[in-house]
Amino acid sequence: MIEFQNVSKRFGTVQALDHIDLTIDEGKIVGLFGPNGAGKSTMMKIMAGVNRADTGTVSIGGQTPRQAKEFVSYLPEIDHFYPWWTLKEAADFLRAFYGDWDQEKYGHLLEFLKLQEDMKLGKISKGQRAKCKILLAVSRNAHYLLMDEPFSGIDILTREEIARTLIQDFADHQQTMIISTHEIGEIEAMVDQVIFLDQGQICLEGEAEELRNEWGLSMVGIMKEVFRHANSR
Amino acid sequence: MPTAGKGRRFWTLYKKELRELTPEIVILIATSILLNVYAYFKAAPLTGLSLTLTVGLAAFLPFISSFKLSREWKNQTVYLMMSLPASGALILGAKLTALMTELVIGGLAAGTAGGLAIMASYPGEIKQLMSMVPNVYSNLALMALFGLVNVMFFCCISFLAQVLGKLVRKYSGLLSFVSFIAILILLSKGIEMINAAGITHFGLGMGLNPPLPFPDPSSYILYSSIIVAIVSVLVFIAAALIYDRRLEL
Repeated sequence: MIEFQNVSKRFGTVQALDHIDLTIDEGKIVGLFGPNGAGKSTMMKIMAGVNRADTGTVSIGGQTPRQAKEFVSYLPEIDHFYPWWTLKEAADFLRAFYGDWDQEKYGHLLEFLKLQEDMKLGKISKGQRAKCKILLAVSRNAHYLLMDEPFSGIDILTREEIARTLIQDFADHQQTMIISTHEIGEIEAMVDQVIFLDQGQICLEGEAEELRNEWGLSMVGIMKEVFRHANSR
Repeated sequence: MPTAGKGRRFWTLYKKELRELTPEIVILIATSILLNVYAYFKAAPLTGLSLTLTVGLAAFLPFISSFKLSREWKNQTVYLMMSLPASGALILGAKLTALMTELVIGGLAAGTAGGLAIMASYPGEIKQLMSMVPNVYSNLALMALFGLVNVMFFCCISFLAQVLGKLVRKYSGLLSFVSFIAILILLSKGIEMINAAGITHFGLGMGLNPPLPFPDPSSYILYSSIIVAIVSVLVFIAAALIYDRRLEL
């Protein structure tokens, strides 16, 4: 279980997160939705243990985010691998750090995503780099998968491929996946729980199916409504 | 699910760091060979100078490379490093060990190439000089140790200054620079005072009053190296603690 208790985070004059209280149960795919600057990446970074909350506490499976790093697979929005690495070198590096690395899964995904191990990460297209990042993040049987904008700047065909990869390799009840994006359409069908974030605050949160029934709208429709109301406040 | 041990994690980080330094090491070896070969064939009287230059370069380069820590932020690879289940001591320790490896390889290449060039240029004089200096090899080893701990000292200060700089978002580079200068001045003064006390101690130990400034050069160098090494370790621990407890993206 992931728990945020009264979590706030400020960067200079910007209030990135404002008193967030949230519980995410195990074994779910959670969509973290919101416009740019809503605080999605900050929430991800705090869960990944690379940022700290100014106030409040965050617990991941009963541990602090820094203690839980071993069980978290974090995919940031930016390219965070060394450009001089080949895909194989990056995989070897990660394998040394994580006991949950699954070589069989890696081999299977490598084939599925049509990637080659000798590809140099700094010399491939953005779409291929995104696929490499996904491959390296999901080749682990990590308890918690944090995907920050995995579709950012990716063409529609590659997006679909990535979404399929995420669903295909998600281990029900064993993993918890949080996907932050503003491309709701791509993952609408995947998510069990949704969190709408705006200006560092949670505007709406709940089970995806329940919200769709309650509002009589798709997730994209709900998001438009939620942020229209939020902006007119 | 078994987790990877600290040794394996350190080795993996060390290999990555060394791989990043490889081009510099290759350039250093090539420069050492070319410069000393050139001096031997074309300007024999300058073999001493070429030895000094290449050894100096071998000592200076790891210090310059230590500032690559900041590049992790610029290249955004810090996202990867900070999300790893690895402590600051492990990450910075691997970086420092790779820098020391660069120093040893570069120093050996420069020392060997330069030494051979000098010995080939002045065989008689060098033989005579070596017979005059007692314990020449142990003294050379002591000088090498002294050089190593001093480069380590500068690299540790560089790490500490850079992590201090990263505590702020604006003027991070300026804060690193000011921190580096301030820490260097402060620690140099402290080491100077400890060394002065050491000289007195060695002098008094020899029953001299007032003590001589350099009663026993090799003991003094060893003593000074130990002091610098201890201070370097303390600076390194401070850098690792700040990396673990204060740094964030």
